Formats: sequence, C-alpha cells, structure tokens
Amino acid sequence: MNFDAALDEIRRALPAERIVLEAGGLAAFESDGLTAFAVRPRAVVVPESEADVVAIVTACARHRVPYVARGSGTSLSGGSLPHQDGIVIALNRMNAILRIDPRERIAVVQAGAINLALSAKAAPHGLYYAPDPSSQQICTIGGNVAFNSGGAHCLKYGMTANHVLGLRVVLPDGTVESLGGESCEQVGPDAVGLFVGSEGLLGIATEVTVRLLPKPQAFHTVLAGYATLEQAGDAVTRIVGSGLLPGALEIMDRLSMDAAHAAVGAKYPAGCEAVLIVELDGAGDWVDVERRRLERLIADSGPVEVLIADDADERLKIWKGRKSAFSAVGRLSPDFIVQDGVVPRTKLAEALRGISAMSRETGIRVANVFHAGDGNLHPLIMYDGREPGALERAEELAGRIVALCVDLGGSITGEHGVGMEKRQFLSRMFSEEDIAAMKRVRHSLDPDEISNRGKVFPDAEAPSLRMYGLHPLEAAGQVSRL
Amino acid sequence: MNPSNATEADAASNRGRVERPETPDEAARIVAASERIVVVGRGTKPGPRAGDPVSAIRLDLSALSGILEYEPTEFTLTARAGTPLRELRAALEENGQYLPFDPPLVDAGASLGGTLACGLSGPGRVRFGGARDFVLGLRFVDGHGTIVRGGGKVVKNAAGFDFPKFFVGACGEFGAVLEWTVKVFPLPPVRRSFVVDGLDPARAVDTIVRLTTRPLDLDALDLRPEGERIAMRIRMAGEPESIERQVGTIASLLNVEPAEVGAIAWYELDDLTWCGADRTLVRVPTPLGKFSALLAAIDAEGADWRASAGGQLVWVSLPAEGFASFGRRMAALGLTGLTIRPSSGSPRGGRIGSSIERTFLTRVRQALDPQGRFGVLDA
Ligand SMILES: Cc1cc2nc3c(=O)[nH]c(=O)nc-3n(C[C@H](O)[C@H](O)[C@H](O)COP(=O)(O)OP(=O)(O)OC[C@H]3O[C@@H](n4cnc5c(N)ncnc54)[C@H](O)[C@@H]3O)c2cc1C
Ligand SMILES: Cc1cc2nc3c(=O)[nH]c(=O)nc-3n(C[C@H](O)[C@H](O)[C@H](O)COP(=O)(O)OP(=O)(O)OC[C@H]3O[C@@H](n4cnc5c(N)ncnc54)[C@H](O)[C@@H]3O)c2cc1C
Repeated sequence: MNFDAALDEIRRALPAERIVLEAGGLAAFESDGLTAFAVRPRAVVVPESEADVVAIVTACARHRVPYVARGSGTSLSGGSLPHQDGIVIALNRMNAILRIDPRERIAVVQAGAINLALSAKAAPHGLYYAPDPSSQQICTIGGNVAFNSGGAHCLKYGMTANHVLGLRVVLPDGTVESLGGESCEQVGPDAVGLFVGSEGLLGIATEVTVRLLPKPQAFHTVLAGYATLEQAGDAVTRIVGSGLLPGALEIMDRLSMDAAHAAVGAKYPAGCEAVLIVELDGAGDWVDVERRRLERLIADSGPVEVLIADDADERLKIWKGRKSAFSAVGRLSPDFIVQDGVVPRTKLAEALRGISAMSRETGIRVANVFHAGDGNLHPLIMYDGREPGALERAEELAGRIVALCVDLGGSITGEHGVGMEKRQFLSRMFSEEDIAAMKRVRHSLDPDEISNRGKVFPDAEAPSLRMYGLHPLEAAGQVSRL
Repeated sequence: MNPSNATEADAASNRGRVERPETPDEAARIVAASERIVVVGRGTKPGPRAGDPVSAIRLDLSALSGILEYEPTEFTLTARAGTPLRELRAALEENGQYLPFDPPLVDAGASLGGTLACGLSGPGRVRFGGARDFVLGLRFVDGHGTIVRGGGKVVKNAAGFDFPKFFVGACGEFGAVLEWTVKVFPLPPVRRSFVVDGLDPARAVDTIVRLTTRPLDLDALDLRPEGERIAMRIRMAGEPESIERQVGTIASLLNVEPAEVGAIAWYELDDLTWCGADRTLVRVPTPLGKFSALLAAIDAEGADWRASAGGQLVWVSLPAEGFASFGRRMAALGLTGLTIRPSSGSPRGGRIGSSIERTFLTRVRQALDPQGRFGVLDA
C-alpha cells in the first residue's frame, strides 16, 4: 500500500478544498449510526462527478489503498465506518436528481441524492419513491442501494432492490459500467439485484434508476391495543392470512409505548401490553372496501380498544409515536443496541417469549418495536455504558437474540445489513462454502479488498467498541427511526 | 441456416451424454467431472441454449423435483428446481394462493428452475412485480462443483450477497440451481377482464400512461395487434365492490366503456401457442418509450407480436430468416432479447441484440464458473 502516491494522484484530479486531511475535518467521519465504533480515516475526499469517483478509485486501486463510500453515514451496522489506513469517499455533493420521467414512472438520480428529496421532486407528478427507511430525511439513495434498505411499508411495496431498475457503477478497478436498464423486465442475470445489498463491497454506485409509484389516494390507519403481545401477534397472522395486504403492519410493546409516551406524549389505550398499527393505502375505492374487512378481522382478534385515525392529523400522531420509539428509548436508558433479526412470521410469538425470558434471566431491559408483517424484529437492548461490563453483557444478549432468530429459521438482519456489527454472525446463517462463494465474487472484482475492507465477512479484525446510543442527529432531534 | 446432413451425422456421433442426477450431491459430482454442461429443465424453452455445442453433457434436473417446504401461513415455498409449475399451482390453489409473477407455460409443463432461469413473468406481474421480486433463496451447484446456498427462507433478509436475484435470468450460466425458495401471495377474490380496442401505437402508449400513473388495482395490462390497430386487455383483481368502482374510474379516464370479456382471453398469451413452430419466439423487455419503435422494427421483419407488463415486455414471433436482421434492429434500439424457442428450421438461439456481457458479469463468471463449464450465451 502506498497512501502518499494515491493521495498525489487524487490531488492532481481534485481541487485541494475537496480533500480533507486535518484531524478536525476527519473527526466528523469517524463513526456512522452505530456509534459504538469509531475509526479515523487518513483522508476524506469529496467527488462532484462520476469522473472524480473514477479518478479516486483508480488511484486507490493502483496503490492498494482501502476506501469506503459514504452517503449520510446513518448505517446502523457500522457499514460506513472508515478504515484506519484508508480514504472516505463522501458522495453528498453528488446529489442531483437528474431526471424524472412521469410517463415511464422512473427517476434517475445521483447516488448522493436524499431519499425524501426524490419523493418531493416526484410529488407534482402524483408519484413517489416507495422505500421509506425512517432515516429518509437524511439517508442517500446510494446508501439505500448498498444496504437494500427497507421501511415501514416494505410488506406491501418491497425493499430497495424491488425498486431499482438500473445502476451506473464504478468497479473497484475503476471501470465504469451500466447495469440493468429502464424497463421493469430484463434479459440476463440480474446484476442489479446482486449489486444492491452488497454493502459497498462490489463497487460504488454513482447513478441509480428507480421506479416511481402512483401516490396512494387514501389511507386508513388503525391502532389496536391488546392485553398480551401474543394476541397482537395473532392479529397479524389473521390479517395477513385473510389476503389483505396492508401498507404497514407494526407492533409496539409496553416498554416502547411508555417511551413514546414520555418522549412525544403519544397516547395508548390503558391495560394493553401491546399495540398493533395497521395502515391500508391505495385507491380511495379500494381503501373504502378493505377497511370494512379489516374492521371485522380486528374485532374478531379480541382487542382491548381500537382507535381509528379520522383525519390526516390523527394518522400523523399515530406514526409520530411509532417513529419516535427508538429515540424515545433513549429516555429510558442512556445506551441501547438496536437489533434487526428476522423470524418466520408464525414464529413471532415464540421469538418474543424467548427474548422476554432472556431479558428476565439477565436483568437487562429489552423494548420491542417491530415490522410485524414481515417478521422483522427490532429489540432495543438497554444498558448503561458507564457501568463496567454492561456493554459486553448487552452485546452478549444481542448475540443470543440473533442466534434465536437463526434457530427459528430466520435471518441475522432484515434491513440494517451485516456491516461491522454482525460479521461474526454471518457464519451462523451460511456455511463455509456459501461464504467462500461470496468471497470469490468479491475477490474477482476486488482482489486487494480495497472497497469497504473489513466489512461483512467474519474474519477481519474489529476496531474497539465504544458505546451504543443515539445517532448524533437523533440526539439533536433531527431524525427518528423505525 | 438449416444444418447440413453432414453436421447432423457428426452431431449424432458426438452427442453429449444425458445425466439425470437424483440427489443434489450427485448433481454436484457430475458438474465437477464434466467439461461442458447444459442444464435441462422440462424441455419447454430450448431457445436460450439452442446454440450450445451438441457434445455438451445435458444435466437433466427433472428427477430433482418436488416441494420441500410449504407453509401457507408464512407465504413462502421451497421446491426443487425441476418441479413442474403445474404441481406448484395445484398445491398453492388448495390454499388460495398463487405465484404473483404469474409464470407462463404452466400447462406446457415448465419447471420452476427453467422459468426462473429465463426470468419469465406473465401478465399478472403488473400487480405486484416480476420473477426477480419473489425469489428469497436458492441452492445451486457452481462451476467448481460446490453446492452454495444464497438468501434465506424468510420474506425479509439482508444478509450476504443476493445470489437468488442474480440467478433470475441467468439461463443456466454460472451454475445449476437445485432448489428455490419463493414468496407467494393470496389469490385475489375475483378477477375481471376488459378490452379496449382500435388503438394506434401512440394512443396505446398514452392509455398505458393514464392507467399506470394512478393507484388502480391493475392485475394485467396486455396488448395485441388487431389488423392495423391495437387491442388492449385490462385485468383487474381484488374485492368485487372495489373493482366495480374502479371500472367506473377507468371508463372516465379513457372516455370509453371497456368491454368485459371472459377469462379465456388471457389463455393465448399465457401459453404462447400463437407462435408457430416455424417461427423463432423472442422475449424483448423495453422501456415504454421505445415501444413504438420496437413495433416498427417488428413490422419491418414481418413478425407478429404480443405485449405484456403494460408494454414493457414484448413477445416476438419471428420468421426464421429474420433472426440476424432483427438482432441488428434491436441493437440499434439498445434492446436485448432472449430466444425462448428456436424455429424448427433454424438452430439460432441465445440472447439477441445489444450485448449485456461486460466487466461485471465477466468477473462474476470468473468467480463462480472460471472454467466456463456452464457456457456463455451470445450477446
Ligand atoms: C435514525 C435512523 C433510522 C433508520 N431507519 C431505518 C429503516 O427504517 N430502515 C432501514 O433499512 N434502515 C434504517 N436506518 C439505517 C440507515 O439509514 C440505512 O441503512 C441507509 O440506507 C443508509 O444510508 P446512508 O446514506 O446514511 O449510507 P451510509 O451509512 O453512508 O452508508 C451505508 C453503506 O453503504 C455504502 N455506500 C454508501 N453510498 C454508496 C454508494 N453510492 N455506492 C456503494 N456503496 C455505498 C457505505 O460504504 C456503507 O457500507 C436508520 C438509521 C438511522 C440512524
Ligand atoms: C434428454 C435431452 C437431450 C438433449 N440433447 C440435446 C442435444 O444433444 N443437442 C441440443 O442442441 N439440444 C439437446 N436437448 C435440448 C436442449 O438441451 C434443452 O432444450 C435446453 O437445454 C433447454 O432446456 P429446457 O428446454 O429443458 O429448458 P427449460 O427447462 O425450459 O429451461 C430454460 C432455460 O433454463 C435453464 N435451466 C433450466 N433449469 C435450470 C436450473 N435448475 N438451473 C439453471 N438453469 C436452468 C436451461 O438451461 C434453459 O436455458 C436435449 C434435451 C433433452 C431433454
């Protein structure tokens, strides 16, 4: 590796003000949304065009300098954590929305474009971009692509991968090419599908072609309280089993309700251990008809109380409580870890029983907020980082929960990615041969592992842990998460 | 284009063995021991591999068949790749469920593996998405003869590289898929079909735009030639009352009362029976913006066509002698097609039009199949 030679080359391609070398400037890039990890990179460079990205990557490739692409740094798994010998390529200035084509229902954006900005730009055409991670005010489409991000509405609309039609990518040797196209159908192996979710290991996306959907005309949002978590889980099974396909289907347990109440004054029915939030969306006619079916299904599931949002304002209140739950937990505990395991939907009750048993046994409080419709759990494991050994105990519990998800036939991550955090769990889901095949693909494109070195695969050394907790932007009240 | 008698004789003497493994391990051993392999599903789509050497070993996966796991309440299903879709349809219908990408050629005997290898979706893909949107996990034998698993068995999973998506459309390149896990959905309570006819290409495209930029419960949106004009077929799916109201919305949007037709109207397109044996059947994805230009190219070749997915997928029935010139026309439009069935008179097949093979795919091939055991399709 020859960092100085690479830097010289980059200096020839980019003006000095877009190359950050001093400690103060680098400090801002030390961590991402997983604040337990912090690493100072050697340099941060800020490309403004695809040609800039090519120049940077080519220099890194020639001199074997590791680099990490970075969007807004909101990764919850340490995916955009810098490498101590490497360069951070900050893509935020490549944030143009290049084209909105309402007839084709597609948009072409630069990778640094902000998720919500795209929907805002599409809105005058009656269209929107469906994947809605709750970091959508700040996260980038490039970061969404790298992590195949989801959101509250992926039960009905799918993840990022289901909405990306084409990509322009800079491969780790500096080659630029287009994958996919502009049609919803394609010929040939789904290269776009392989690139999406590859967590920055297979190259840098510079341009993304996504499909847009017609904006729903109507919403119907219901909040139902249940005496037990299990009843709420049963209601989910009933609703999904009936053939209704709600836009969102979320559950919060008592502890997260308490947190949301404390934080934003959200109100929940008394005497409930769990609430279920169901939202129907679509054409007005559809919602009108389906809401009656939903009402029957919910009535049959034995709720303690049912609240229906009568207007947009009440709907927003329900979502505010739900979306504040993560950051609200910060009020109950100085630090917490967000887990992201998935279980088969029918094993939800079993998983929740398992988690609560572990919580009792260890004396560690765990709040549960989750995407119930697709079995994606987000246990929030609370601890106090100032207490010696507390972080390690919390991490151990997190590990046991991940193991439980895999044992129940699920996955170690539904939407936050493997990144830094779950590397050691990858081999719980995949055999040595499976992982070897992934590594062969990686090495074929990037023999020196310069693109996001040290992530995803189990063997790399982990930098030391600091603490888990709120993302700095959450602490500042600028974002909340699901 | 007809192979001469001499080549036919050569082919007969030189014909590759047919291997029909009964277990995944046996399939892996055969791959490891063979220099060149063509994966064979259930024989309904000989087009992609029509150009492969006859000496290649045919890896017939029809014995690797059957449903392995099906949890109706989970909406997931795992089956061996050689399972006929007919068998899946029967099992799913018993539970009021279906494959939302609506694969074609079910009654012709197509297998799950062959369908996903060709990336085939049917008219119903308009509602929830195509084949790539419903694959969750797979097991495949790569070119090293190793069995590799990718993805998972739950509806949401972000761990590891997404090999399942990658293998959709791979046509037996990179590896032989042994088993697939797919996401299924509940069948809609009712479906109703309507026809709007007498459209020219520009009006047809306009009508598609009007219908698809509104939140309507469209289940299928197909087009077919009707003399000099185009007829559009619209299928709605959902609750009877909600459809009733939406039909009203559509009528006012289009300024015509769509005529209701029976379910039979979809059959021909589903089964591809309209394309004669002397014709080459090619599947061409296109953005809507190139639809009219593609129709012009089809006309220029004297070919017939049917379109699906709101005009974004065109099935072309091509006279045998038009293969090369149609390929040039497609390349000029920046489009790539896949031969599904070669004509009886010509062995031409594989991909046609603009090439998709570039660095990314070449590198993935070097990783999964460095010796090229599974071959490389043209284009
Ligand atoms: C408050 C909060 C709420 C969240 N809610 C959700 C949620 O609901 N659902 C969900 O799925 N996630 C959620 N996340 C996680 C996170 O926001 C997503 O993973 C998001 O997609 C990351 O985008 P980013 O721009 O911040 O990417 P970064 O964190 O900067 O990068 C993420 C990864 O992508 C790579 N990368 C970035 N840009 C590119 C590119 N152009 N090409 C190739 N690789 C690239 C990076 O190297 C890194 O590995 C949340 C996070 C926070 C802090
Ligand atoms: C016994 C037998 C011998 C044959 N011998 C010859 C011959 O000598 N010369 C000749 O030209 N043709 C021969 N053919 C025809 C030709 O090999 C096949 O038609 C061709 O391989 C496509 O297979 P299919 O029609 O079964 O395709 P389908 O099952 O319809 O599959 C379509 C495509 O998907 C691929 N595919 C299917 N299943 C999988 C899977 N599980 N994983 C990965 N890819 C998959 C296939 O390779 C094919 O390209 C033979 C066919 C059979 C049945």
